[in-house]
Amino acid sequence: MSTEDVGDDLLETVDDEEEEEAMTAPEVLHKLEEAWLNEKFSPDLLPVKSNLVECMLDQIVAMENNISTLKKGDFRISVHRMEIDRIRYVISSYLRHRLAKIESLTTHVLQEEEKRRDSENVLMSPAELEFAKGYCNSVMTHLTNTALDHMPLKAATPNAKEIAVLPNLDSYVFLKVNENTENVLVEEETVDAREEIMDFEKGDQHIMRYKPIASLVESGGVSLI
Amino acid sequence: MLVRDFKREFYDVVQHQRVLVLVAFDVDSLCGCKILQYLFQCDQVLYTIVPVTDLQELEKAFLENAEGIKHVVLINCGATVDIVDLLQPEDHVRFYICDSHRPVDVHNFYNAVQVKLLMREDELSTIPTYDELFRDDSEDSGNESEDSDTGYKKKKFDEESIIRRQEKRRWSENRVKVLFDYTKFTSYGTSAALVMFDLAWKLSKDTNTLLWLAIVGVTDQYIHFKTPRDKYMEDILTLQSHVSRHNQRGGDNENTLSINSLKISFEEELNFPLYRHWTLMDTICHSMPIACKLRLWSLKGQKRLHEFLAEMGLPLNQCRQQFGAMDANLRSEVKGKIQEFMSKYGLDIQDVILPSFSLHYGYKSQLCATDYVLSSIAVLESGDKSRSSTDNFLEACDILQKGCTDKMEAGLSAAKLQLRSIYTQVQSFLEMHQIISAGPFLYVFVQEGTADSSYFAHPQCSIRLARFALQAHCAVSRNKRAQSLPLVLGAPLRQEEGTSLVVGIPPLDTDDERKNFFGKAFEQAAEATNTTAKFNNFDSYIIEMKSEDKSKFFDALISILQ
Amino acid sequence: MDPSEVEFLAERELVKVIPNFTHDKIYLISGDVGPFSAGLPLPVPLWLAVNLKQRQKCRFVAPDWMDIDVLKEKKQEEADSRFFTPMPSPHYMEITQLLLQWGTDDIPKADEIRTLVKDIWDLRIAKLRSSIDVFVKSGESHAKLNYLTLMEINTVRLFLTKALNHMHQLKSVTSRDTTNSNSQAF
Repeated sequence: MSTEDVGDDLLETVDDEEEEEAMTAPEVLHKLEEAWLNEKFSPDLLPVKSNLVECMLDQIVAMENNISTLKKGDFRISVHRMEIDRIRYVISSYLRHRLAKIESLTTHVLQEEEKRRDSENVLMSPAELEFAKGYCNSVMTHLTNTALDHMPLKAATPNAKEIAVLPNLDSYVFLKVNENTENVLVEEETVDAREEIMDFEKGDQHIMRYKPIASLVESGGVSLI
Repeated sequence: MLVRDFKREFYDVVQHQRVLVLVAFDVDSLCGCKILQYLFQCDQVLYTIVPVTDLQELEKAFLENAEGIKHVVLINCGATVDIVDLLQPEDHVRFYICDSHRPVDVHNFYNAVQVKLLMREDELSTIPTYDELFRDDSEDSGNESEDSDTGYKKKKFDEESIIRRQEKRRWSENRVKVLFDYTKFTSYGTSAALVMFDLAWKLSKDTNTLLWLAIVGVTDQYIHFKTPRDKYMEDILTLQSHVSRHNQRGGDNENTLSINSLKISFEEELNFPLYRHWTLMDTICHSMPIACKLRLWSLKGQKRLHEFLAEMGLPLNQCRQQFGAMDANLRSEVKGKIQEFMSKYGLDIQDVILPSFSLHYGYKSQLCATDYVLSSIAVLESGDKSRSSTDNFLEACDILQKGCTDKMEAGLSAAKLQLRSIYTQVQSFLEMHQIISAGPFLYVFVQEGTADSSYFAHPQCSIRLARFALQAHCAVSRNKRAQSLPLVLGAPLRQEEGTSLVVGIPPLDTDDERKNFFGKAFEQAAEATNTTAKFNNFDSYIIEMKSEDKSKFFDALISILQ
Repeated sequence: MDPSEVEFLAERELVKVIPNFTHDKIYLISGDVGPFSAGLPLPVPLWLAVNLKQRQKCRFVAPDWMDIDVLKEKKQEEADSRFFTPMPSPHYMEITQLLLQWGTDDIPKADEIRTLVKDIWDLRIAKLRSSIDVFVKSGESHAKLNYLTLMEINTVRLFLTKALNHMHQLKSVTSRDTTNSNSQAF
């Protein structure tokens, strides 16, 4: 991927954020649900959508305030409650999936975060970052105390890069195309096969490896299903 | 106080607070409770359901759960006692009583604040007027102070006070008489399930499932000899209009309803217990009217039965098959044949046919209302000591749940065992001539250590046993008076404590009323003999007493009833 | 993904109900619903419809496609076509399931509908299985799955992705081996 492409991607995401300011609550919810599914199916940790989560949490708080002003037994209470429960489920499932990934890919995500430090598109929210660091330290201390201390000196200096668990970016995913995209590289050129390129049409559904479309997931051009 | 508008004065009021529901142990209460539970679930009302077997448990359950509770619903319990006096609730607690027991305690009726009766107005017409029961407050308190003052104060013998005194004496004599007349007989009003169903109907939340529960409740009252046939037929008519409203769709749309939805239909059912799940032979033997009229417990009776079957053209090997496995032709003819030949064997149409309803659901065979009653009561009053009564209650609840077929099967086999043990017990009563006339009434005791005596320690089952015994006795007795004699049955309750359950049922010739005078009689006999009988049961004609007091108690009972 | 989660997503779909009560518009976070007026059909999210039905507050109206003739035609089309045909609703299976579970008596000819929808489902799943077979044997690295519904994808998700992952791994190992041996030859 050329540097220009990266630049485009960045611009687009910034645009996205600006748009979100003007989004209606149902739209935010829809985006959040999309982010939830993307997170659920992608092998790698995706940039956090803090603004979506926070926006929805604000909505929930506001709604709960509204509910408390309603008279006991009002028909609306149970309906609103149920909706809040549904949204809560999405939010917590989203965050849980992220935490699970942070736990399994700790070193990798910390390294990735390091790379992205300057860009606005952070991988983790401050809380998640703190969690990742804490978790990483705990694991290291645990390993040191239980095993490494009892080993010869050479083996006892772990290299973060060496022990990092990497996400399997080649794993297959199902996706749905949101925006027409041309010239998607499906398969790199190898010794015995030529590279494969195809066009995505809006509404199409595909199954393929995650790696080639990773950037499209991030930009919202496709969503995982 | 009587509630006239159930929706406004009861349902709307209890809605937004936690409700405590206390339920008695019979099938009707269970159905009523389930209907109410469904309504509460629809409107997301918080509730606590506690099943209670007797007054003592009622008290306990109230004490344990009363905290923060403002509304208490009592189903088939509490109407016959002064509930406020019994439970001593705080002032803000309200009781809603949906109880088929009659007579209703006068204090409950005239308590306008704390007690609300969910009953039909026309059934409470016999209640004495307020003036007959209570006198003006100021006068009352005046009198009381006068009474207490008599010890040390000089009485004024002026004319006015004498007149007042006389008048008061007349009034209190009259009060005692009126009260006695009012409480002399116990009987039953409309089933709690039906009352609850009416409420659901008014809230337009009535469904076929609820309607079925109401049907089961009404059938339970009839099967346990609580309501006379007239009342039963009247309720069935009411229900039938609901059934046709729910189950009839325009002619050509008939088959549009899914097989998985509940369908109820009116049917002239064979009055044989569980016949769809049993063999014809067994079910006939355990049908009370036929067993008594043909005297099936004797060899001769069995012969007569064979004759009857032969005449109807039903081969014996077919009759010993599961009913469902019988030859289809024969099976469809059974009802007609029985009606054709019954008169020759002295059977009435009422003995063999019961207008009732049956339920179709899925591809399983249909079930009738009596099947439901018998299997739930068998589970509810299961003899299994290892399970608590609450477990039984929940289990019986499951039977009434649509789609719980395996629980239903288990219930049906429990019901068969119960019917069998009732039958064998009656047979041994007759063979050993244990039903004895004491003059004004008959009595019989289930011997301690009898195999199935644990079944008869439960009220509903003992009522059925008593009734079967009485009917069987009348069938064999040469004494013409037998028809007009009531029966008292004693059964061992808890052997380690040496207690017995004593049940009194009215004579057969008053069967079209089904009014029971034993409640009052037991009370007086216990008073006269200083017996420590426990009047704990919601039915006053069922009491608990020490087995050793029995003879003393019966002597007193004889002199009272003479 | 758990099938219940697919159902969760399906519950966002709008279905028509006839309420038996009257109420103003309700301003939900996911969009406004109502106003409700007794006897007049209106669209609500499926989750709300089921809840109202459970509380005896409404009757379901069968969606347009939930009709014997439409479904029969659909079934025929599905049987005739080699490819997957577009379904009337992206969550047809879940909607049918939920509506029939809670409101059998509101849907005319419920039993036939259930059978037809299941027939269509079976046809499509059979098609899905055979095309997976072809796809895996061909060794292609991607496939287009247009018109498959989420529930259908979900039934093969675990098996298919795992299998393809393994195959990819094996393939990449063998290609690496060949490059390795090549370099050794030099």
